[in-house]
Amino acid sequence: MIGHNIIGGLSRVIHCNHYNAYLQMTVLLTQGIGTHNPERLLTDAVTPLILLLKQQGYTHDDLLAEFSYCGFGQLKQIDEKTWETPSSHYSQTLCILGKKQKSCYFTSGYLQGLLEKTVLETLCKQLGDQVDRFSVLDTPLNAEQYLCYEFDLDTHVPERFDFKDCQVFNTRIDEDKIRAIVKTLPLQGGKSGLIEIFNAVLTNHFADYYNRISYDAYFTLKNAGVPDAESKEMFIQAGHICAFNTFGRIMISPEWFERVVPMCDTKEDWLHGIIAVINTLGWGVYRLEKLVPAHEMIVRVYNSYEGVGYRRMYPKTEDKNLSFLAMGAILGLMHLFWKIDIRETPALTQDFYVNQFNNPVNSYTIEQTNAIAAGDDYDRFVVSK
Amino acid sequence: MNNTYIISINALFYALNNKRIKMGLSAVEHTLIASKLGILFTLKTHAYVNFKSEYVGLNEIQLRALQEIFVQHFNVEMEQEIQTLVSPQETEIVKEVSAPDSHTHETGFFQTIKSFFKPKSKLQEEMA
Repeated sequence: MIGHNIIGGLSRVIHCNHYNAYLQMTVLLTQGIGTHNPERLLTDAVTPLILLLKQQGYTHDDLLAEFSYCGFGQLKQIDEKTWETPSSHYSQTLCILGKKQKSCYFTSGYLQGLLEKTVLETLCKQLGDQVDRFSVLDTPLNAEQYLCYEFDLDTHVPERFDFKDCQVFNTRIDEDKIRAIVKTLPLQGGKSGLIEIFNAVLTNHFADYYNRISYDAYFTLKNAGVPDAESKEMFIQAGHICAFNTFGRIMISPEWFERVVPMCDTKEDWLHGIIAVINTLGWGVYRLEKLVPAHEMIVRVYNSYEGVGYRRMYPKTEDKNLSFLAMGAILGLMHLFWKIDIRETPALTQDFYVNQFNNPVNSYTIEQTNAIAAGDDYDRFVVSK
Repeated sequence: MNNTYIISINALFYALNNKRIKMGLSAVEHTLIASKLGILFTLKTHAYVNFKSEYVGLNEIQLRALQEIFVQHFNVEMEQEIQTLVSPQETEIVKEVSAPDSHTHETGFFQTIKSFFKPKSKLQEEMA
């Protein structure tokens, strides 16, 4: 599927530690609702995916190597019942806004798939421990397969600027060249098993994992009586934080200035450039439909990983505002250029995020008008004031 | 037990962050506090309260639930601060109160997203 990065038959998407931390914090808010257990959700959502990889022929060693390759850290067996992660994405991903707690749910779930046994985290660097430690239990493994629906999208993905209703854009940004540049970047876990680049820590994560934890938590909130908008807001905000930290850090990096900025004459070129980068992340194919600088931006996303993933887990819906990550990310794009000006290379600190980027003054709003989840050919988003 | 007490959201969030900073914890963005409280309060009390309002009116049971949420999710004990911040409903400020909504209250999605990004209130501007 165009716009998807497939490894072992499963779609992978690149995301940063800031997004992973915020999303995990949001899912954990659903604690204590009936029998819903967000810690189990965060753990068990990855287990069936590892079992699928095994069905594809992955060996024990392949899975250990892939854990590091995708930036999750290092897995090390201590004895028959004990594993540790000397380095780990999720124990470096600090949720500073809540109580400190064990946070390596994903790693536990990955080990469950690897060992086909229930795994529990017993020590975590987040709590001040020297290592993250995991105990292998004798209790039966729960690995519910949640990809229940066959869904393939055969929508034609148009070339950039070459579709009905697309505004005429003139730019020297060469999307193929940018794609080639991104391929040269070290987006694989190094010795530590972490992908440290652009002053962020990235993962090449499972799209289905994000979709499972996001939509399950969202529906849990909704069913518990939390107003729909309130439930969605946290997930959208996670995407907004992702735009600030991932897109923002890319655009203040030396690599960007060295290799992309020479193709830019205007602020709009910067936008075309970062969209070309986004199209390498496995998120689908972003196509700019309309841009009225500082006023309105319309973006289509073909093969959006959220839309496609939704349809593999749930029947078609009537709700068109369900691609939460894309909503926050596209809103964030507008803010990066027309609320702040990322070309001035501001320091992307937490204070700057709170006082400038996420400050309610001069913010834009976003609406999703088309959704693959609702049966449309693509996701479409309108940002305006 | 059914008395309603009015509390300024901005003052409450400032008090929360002051307490967190005194305890060596980081301050939390007001919009995030409001979003988290909106969710956590609904789950705990089965009633939705919009913490993005300038003021909320809560009864004693709800105030206790709010205190528990602050302990469980923000790591701070706020009983004393809340006691000093609440006013009985009979004060003038009542006119501006956004009363607790029913959990079935429908707010349009875009309305809420817009209100999420709405300009600071005058009170917020003065205190910022």
